[in-house]
Amino acid sequence: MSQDAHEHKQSFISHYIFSTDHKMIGKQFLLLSTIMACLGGFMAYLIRWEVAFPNVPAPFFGLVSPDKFNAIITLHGTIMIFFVGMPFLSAFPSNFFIPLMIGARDMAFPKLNMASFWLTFAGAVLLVASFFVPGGPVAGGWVGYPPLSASSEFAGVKWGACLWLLALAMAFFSSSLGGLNYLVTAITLRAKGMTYSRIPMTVWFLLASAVTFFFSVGPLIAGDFMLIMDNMFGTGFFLPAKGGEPMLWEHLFWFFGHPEVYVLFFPALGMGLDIMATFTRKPIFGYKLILWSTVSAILLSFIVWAHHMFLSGLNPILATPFSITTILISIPFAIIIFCMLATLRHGSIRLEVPMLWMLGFLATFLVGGLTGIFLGSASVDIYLHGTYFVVAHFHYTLFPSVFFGGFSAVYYWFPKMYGRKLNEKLGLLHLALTFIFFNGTFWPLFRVGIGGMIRRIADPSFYPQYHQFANWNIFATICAISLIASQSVFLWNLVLSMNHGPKAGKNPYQSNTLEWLADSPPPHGNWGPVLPVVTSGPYEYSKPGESEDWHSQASNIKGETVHG
Amino acid sequence: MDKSANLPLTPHYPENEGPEGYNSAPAGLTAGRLGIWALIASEIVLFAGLFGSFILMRMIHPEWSEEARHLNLVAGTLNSLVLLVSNFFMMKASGAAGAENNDNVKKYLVLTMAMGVLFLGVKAFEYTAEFAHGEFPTSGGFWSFYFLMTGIHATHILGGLVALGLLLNRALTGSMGNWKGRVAITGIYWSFVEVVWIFLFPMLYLLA
Repeated sequence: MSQDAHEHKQSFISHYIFSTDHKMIGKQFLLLSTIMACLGGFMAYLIRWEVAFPNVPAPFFGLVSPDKFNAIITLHGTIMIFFVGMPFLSAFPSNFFIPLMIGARDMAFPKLNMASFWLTFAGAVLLVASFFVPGGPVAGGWVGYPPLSASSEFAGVKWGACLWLLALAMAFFSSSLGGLNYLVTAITLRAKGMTYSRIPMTVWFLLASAVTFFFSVGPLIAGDFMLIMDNMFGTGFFLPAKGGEPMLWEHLFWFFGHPEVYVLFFPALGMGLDIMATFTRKPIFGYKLILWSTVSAILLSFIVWAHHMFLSGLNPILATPFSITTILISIPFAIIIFCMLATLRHGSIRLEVPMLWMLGFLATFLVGGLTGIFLGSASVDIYLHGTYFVVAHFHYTLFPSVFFGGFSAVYYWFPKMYGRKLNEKLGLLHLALTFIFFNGTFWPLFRVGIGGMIRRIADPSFYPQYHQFANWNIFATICAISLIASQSVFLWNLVLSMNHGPKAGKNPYQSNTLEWLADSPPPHGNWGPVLPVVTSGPYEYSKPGESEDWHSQASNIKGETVHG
Repeated sequence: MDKSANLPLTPHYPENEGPEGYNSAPAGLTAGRLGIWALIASEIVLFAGLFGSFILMRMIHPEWSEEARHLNLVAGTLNSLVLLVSNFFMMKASGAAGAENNDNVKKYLVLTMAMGVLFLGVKAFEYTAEFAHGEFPTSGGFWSFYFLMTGIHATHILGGLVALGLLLNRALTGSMGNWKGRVAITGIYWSFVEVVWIFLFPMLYLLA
């Protein structure tokens, strides 16, 4: 026995750290994103504190001076998108669930998978390191517009900018390699009988996300290299004084920037669809319609980018076509949302915690989506673009995707990941607090934005015209602090339930998809000696004439499930 | 309790099933082959971003043609030929790996790599001459793009050489085994790197 334990200890590093097991890598991404979310959340608190109580030292930090404010908003954006959103919503579920849901033993390229985690990790380390270099971290906004970001002459930050750009490059490579791996896995390693029309929505949407990412990030990688050269070697790609063109960066950045929103939205949507089918005990309405709508949304997402640039001096003639494509893109998403509503109709809805999170995602994201139509119209955008309206819109799209969508997935699949259920009461409390305080934080910002308050300013008390918004800002800040504090309920629940939660068994929700046939947590290799053989689609719930309202996708190991 | 011990329970896998699981790839497609094509697809977008940026900038800066004349056209042409020949040898190596002719694999991999090294050598010679003339990445927009694009391309050549070196190592120790498919996959990548040069060469050297 002791020898066994000793042998196990030898493999500790290969098991927990340099693991090639897709489930461990998924958990590593989850842990990394949780740590980075704490950092990004703390920054959100500092931003809101300074806007509501200008020039009052923030508790646990001190005075958020304007230069610190600039650095903090920059890094809040970068961290939340590339080191929280991407790992939490794309890398973690892709790694953990794609092989399980298609009936594979692991990823197609496990070592590449490990490399993609360590690239993100290295990026996170570089980003955190940028706090400690001379000149401090980059402070040019998360969009990094040159010339401010291209030369230390303007921003006073050299090493911070270089580290930031390198960190971004790491994150880009990591997500590209990861996406490649997910795509190859889903095409080559599906279980017998897992035809394309039997693949669960989660997998389809994670692939949509991966493909959207690696077809859009290339130009930004090129731009990233150019900006690194501008900063480190003194070239002038984006510096007008040296014959460069700052607008070029904006094109390269937003060509990626808009698809990136969908990269973060698709996984939430796909996981939401699976959760919805399970908790309505109904097939998804319009499986193929949803998929083709997604394809058209992806294609459109590549030709809308200039709607972020209506104020940049873009040729006004170009504004109209970009307005049209932007507003067109709401059609496929409207179709998907209507399909989701039709799925709810006449379902035997079970309002369990993951389902409630999913409905919270739908309700809040809808606000973000609808305000996007306002901003897509060039004439409205010219007034609203510089204001808090954009901040509110942006957070109403990304916060629901990353947090409501991500949490619904964690609550739903936690039993599979750790073999135990999360505490339901704490889950409901977490949802209620998050939902109330999220809306309390960002709804006022629509009001403040329409009123004309400009974003990205550290000290609104300096501008008399913004004094009328002081109470709105204080209200939003109190809600924001409460929102961040409420997340401790989740962390507490996580730690508590991981060790003491009720045992979940293999299939706590009587769900059809393959991952529920594996042990909870699944062992290395997932399936033991026998691979599942898929005989039906993922959403055959409440089939007429069957005694049970569910029908596992693979009947060959269903029998084993009972006594396994 | 270590469940991983359960993994190799079935020494004889059923049809289409290997140690990694069931193989659902469409006929003729392997994970490696699909992976390399996906990689190339994302690389194409990267280079499209670079080329697109260069072309746009080139259009608003007609005076760059004057600077393009300073490039060494002979060296550029020579390098195009070197890469073409290198690809010829790479294809030979792929064919030899398919035919399990280890001697030929070794021979053609060495020739391919020699051509790759020659390419980098000529490129280094060009860079040196340009530096001697005072043409640095900071010497204006054209030179920034020239050094960035050729530099990224040369990095791809270098990466290819590393992959070829790993293959050669296997071939020399006679342990190709299931690495045979990887020769063809590396060949696809190597062709892609050449195709990038086919676009890069006229855009930089010939548009003078």
